Amino acid sequence: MYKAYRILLSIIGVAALAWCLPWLYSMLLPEGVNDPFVAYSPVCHSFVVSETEGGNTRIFTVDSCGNVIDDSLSKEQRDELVPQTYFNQLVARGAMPDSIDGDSVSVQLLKQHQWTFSSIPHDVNKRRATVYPVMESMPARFELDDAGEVFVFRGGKIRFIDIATNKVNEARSAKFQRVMRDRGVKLPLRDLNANITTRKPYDEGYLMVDADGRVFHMKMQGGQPYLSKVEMPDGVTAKYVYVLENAEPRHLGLVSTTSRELYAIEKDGHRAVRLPVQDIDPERDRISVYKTYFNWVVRLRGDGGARWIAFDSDTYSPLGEYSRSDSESVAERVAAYVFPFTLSYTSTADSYAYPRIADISWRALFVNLALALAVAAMARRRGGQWIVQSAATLVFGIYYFIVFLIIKN
Amino acid sequence: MQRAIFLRAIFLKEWLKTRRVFLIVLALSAAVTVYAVIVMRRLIELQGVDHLWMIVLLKDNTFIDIIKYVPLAAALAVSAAQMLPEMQQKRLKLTLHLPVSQYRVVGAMLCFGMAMLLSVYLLQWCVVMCYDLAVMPRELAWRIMLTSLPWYAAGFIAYLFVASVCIEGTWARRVVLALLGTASVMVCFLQPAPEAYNGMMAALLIFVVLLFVLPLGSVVRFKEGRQD
Repeated sequence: MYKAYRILLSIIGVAALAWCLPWLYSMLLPEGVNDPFVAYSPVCHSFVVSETEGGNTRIFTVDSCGNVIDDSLSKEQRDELVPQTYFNQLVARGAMPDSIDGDSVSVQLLKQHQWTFSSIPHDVNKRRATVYPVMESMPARFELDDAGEVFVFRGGKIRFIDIATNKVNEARSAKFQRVMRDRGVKLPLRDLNANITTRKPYDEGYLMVDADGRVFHMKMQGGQPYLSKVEMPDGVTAKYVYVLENAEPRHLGLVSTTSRELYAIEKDGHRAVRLPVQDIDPERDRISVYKTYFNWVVRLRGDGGARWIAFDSDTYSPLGEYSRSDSESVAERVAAYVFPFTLSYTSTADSYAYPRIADISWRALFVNLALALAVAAMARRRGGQWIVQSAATLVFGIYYFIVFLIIKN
Repeated sequence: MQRAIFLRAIFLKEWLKTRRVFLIVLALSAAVTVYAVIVMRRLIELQGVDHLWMIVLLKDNTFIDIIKYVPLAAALAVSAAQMLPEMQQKRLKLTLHLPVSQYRVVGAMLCFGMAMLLSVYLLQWCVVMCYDLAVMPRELAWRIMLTSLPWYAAGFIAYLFVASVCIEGTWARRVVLALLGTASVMVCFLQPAPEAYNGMMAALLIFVVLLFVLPLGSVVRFKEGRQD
């Protein structure tokens, strides 16, 4: 029993230290990545990068190969290069042009075609409630009303539940179930998305990915079901869907696929159009889309760096790509020599809690070896099992070394 | 037959020792549970049940955050009430001289304490579950109740760590056990997202079972005379 007690205490000790020490280290020497704001200029046809570091803003332009073209732009010059974003500044200065890149523009036009979208892994990798509020897309009055019903899937069927009474609305459930069966929606659904809020210009209901990876658009209009299939190219399997509901009504939503591509669903024809964005993974990347009258700029922020992809807003033809890699800091390099691995229970990339071992570092073997020799010498003096103790130190490094020093007998 | 008499005697001893604390813990737990239910009822009356549903669905709020640390507090109280008198009045020394295995004696004591906590936890869990089922669909009610499971696991972990700290005879080891216990309990409160611990509950259950070794190990050390 006492042996089991010592082993258990050592395991808990190693686990606690592997969790707490790297966490304390990162608290003492915090490392953060601050991505610049990157826009694509319809004036000079290059990326305009605004980077703030230590209170100083550096603005420069880069071509699609990443070469810096002009390294010392002022904020005023930037406003003129990116008028689709900084039109308020230009209007205030009386410098707003009548036409940009051959298109006559107005502030109202630029505003109407401007929207943003973002998705973070923390919100994608989570256990979502399997209860979906449904809004009326054609409310009797002009304003949108709060959701009065929710739907759930029970026994392979869609069931609508009235919120006020917590009872199943059999009639509506039957109607939607019939439409889903007629359209060939295969359950269980892989993903559903809707924006449940009244603070939007209109309601487009839900985008859904069925068990076969097909995308469907479902909403409730006048209490009746509306369900239509989104046309996707052959062989494309959808994974995640996002409803947009912007003031600019051209796009219904976005679709990411199992082959890591991004599609935009156009309302006209209910068809998905492939965007020139490769290797996109909502489970791993922070995705942000900045759409303007002239172009889209999609930013993908992963573990090792960030990419910005710009493409034309009308034709979706690629305009350029700009990327940055994160470099290893001194604090991270030192940590790699000290900590053989780290243990954490949570992550900024998801909303789950479970033990996860990360940052396994072979560079820590040098420190581990030195500590193992010290443990061997001390354990032999103590008369303990020096081979087992030093082997454990070789693997668990500083974590087991501390446990060895504290838990003597 | 003899085993049954022995167990009954141990359980009676534990009941006499902890009944007051148990009743206080039960009353506190019931009061907080009723308060959590009243908060939900009040919100429904003022804002409507749809408001409650939307907050649960869209804001990831479970409305039972107030009971979050109650299982932990209950575990600390029951464990201290059970083990502190044993050490302060040197009763454990006498108990360990009984012609019964020391593991069986301490194991029976721990099982009694765990059963006491389980009854408090089950009562609390069932009351909240019944209320939630009355006002929201079962999918949402289960989501809320699954979110609360790691809080109860934290209670059992804290109970066993406090028991081992109390039985332990040396201050240095007590500090080590207390720090490890704090770290282990903290793990259960790290992620506030609903159902975040679903994938870890089996591991937490195994961990609780393994933790029985700690108080038993402290007993071995105590019996060997490792005391300050």
